[in-house]
Amino acid sequence: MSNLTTVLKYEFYNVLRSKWIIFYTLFLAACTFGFYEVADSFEKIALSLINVLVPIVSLVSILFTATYWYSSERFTEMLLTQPVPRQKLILARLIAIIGALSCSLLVGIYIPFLVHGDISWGSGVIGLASIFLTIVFSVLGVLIGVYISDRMLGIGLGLGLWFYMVVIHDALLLIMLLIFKDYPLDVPSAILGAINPVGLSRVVLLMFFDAPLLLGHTGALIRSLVETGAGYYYLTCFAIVWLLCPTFFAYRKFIYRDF
Amino acid sequence: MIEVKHLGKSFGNLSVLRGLDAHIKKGSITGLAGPNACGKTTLIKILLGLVVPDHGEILLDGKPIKKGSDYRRFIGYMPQNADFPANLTGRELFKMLQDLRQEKSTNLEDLIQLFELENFVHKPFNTLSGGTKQKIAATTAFMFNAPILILDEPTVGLDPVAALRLKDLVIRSSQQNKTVLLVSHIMSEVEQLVSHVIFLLEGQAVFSGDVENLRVQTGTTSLEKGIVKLLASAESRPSPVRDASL
Repeated sequence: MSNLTTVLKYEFYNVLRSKWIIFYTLFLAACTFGFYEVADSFEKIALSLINVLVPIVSLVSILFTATYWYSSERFTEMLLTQPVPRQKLILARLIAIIGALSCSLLVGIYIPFLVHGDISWGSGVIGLASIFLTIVFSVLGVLIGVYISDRMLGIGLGLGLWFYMVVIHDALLLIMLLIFKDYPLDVPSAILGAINPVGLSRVVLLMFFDAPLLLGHTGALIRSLVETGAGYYYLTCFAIVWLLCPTFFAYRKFIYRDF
Repeated sequence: MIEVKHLGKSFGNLSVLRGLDAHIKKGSITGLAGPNACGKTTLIKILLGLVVPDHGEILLDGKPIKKGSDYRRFIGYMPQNADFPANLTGRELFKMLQDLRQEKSTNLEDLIQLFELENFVHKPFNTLSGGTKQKIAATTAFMFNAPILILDEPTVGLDPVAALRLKDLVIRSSQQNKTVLLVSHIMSEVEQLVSHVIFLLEGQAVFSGDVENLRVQTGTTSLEKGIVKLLASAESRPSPVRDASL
């Protein structure tokens, strides 16, 4: 077993046994089962679930990862005193945290889907978008952890970042559109909307379920771009940038920082 | 032998190590002493690969440690405040370390018995006391028979029986020609264990040699008095460090 798989395996066990991860799974399962009780079609259940999943998955991912990173700082130091290259250590820990959070998420939402026999493209897209959010926000949590040594400041920043992406970003965009309403702002607004990973995943999900009324202002703009064909290209590019950039900066900082 | 050559490290404007030179003899128990913020922890962290020096190098048996992580298999480290993954057990930690080093520990069961950990190694770390975690940290440091042992305040948090057993283990390790680097503020403990002392002040070694030499040089009867005298005399005159910074 290589260094990477060894660290990954034990970190994965450790995260998966956390009581918060168990609570997260149960919460998601309860929500999904609950939506089955009150809605009569899969589309309605999916739309309700999306509205819960997008803010909750991003919040849990960034807060859990940042908190876990800070609380395991001394163990990180201990691992660094072992013959393990730093490059392998950060990758193994990152994959373990994302893997455990994703497992918890998938178990929480797919058990109700399985019980009700709703395994379809729709449920697949919900799973993929949620995993995308889990990866992006977990990496942001690690990024905060490796750059900011003050735990309170780091967790506060994580919360602020989440609040910005879920609430403030769209509000700022709307204010900008109101101020510059006399100018043609469709393309810049759509790009600014998709810069936000929360907006990005929300739009992809709601477009798949063909629910334009729920898209909000950002979503409506991106949707108009998607209909021209170029939008898919932009969405994919933004998603790749969100997956790779924070990972690169966290990886680079971890390799060169002092502990 | 561990050779520290002109080691320098600054954190922002704070210069912690300023061209530190020192030798740690093979098979010796060397005490790293000095007032707070003199650079002891930074030196250990550089040796362990946790901190990257700005200049200078450390040689282990003539080979620089700057690049790579493989040299760390020759080091057993016991931190001052050990902490482990909350939901793993001691057994899992030992297995993880053996897998990481790709080396089976031959004395693990003896160490578990020595520190009376039999009833604790199957429990998750979040249920264990600080003292028990320290005993597990001691076990991880000694379980691979590493030729170099770095012990940072090893007896802090241990009960008297475990502390005594750990001290015996340190002495036995030295008799097996292992190099031990010990950081401790408990002077009686240092006096009892070490054969050599490196005394750091403002990022430089103001004394490096054997304990007897220190006593003779300072005209004192104990290591503790010798160190106090060394500190007093270093503070009463402009140190080379202060001269260099002018």
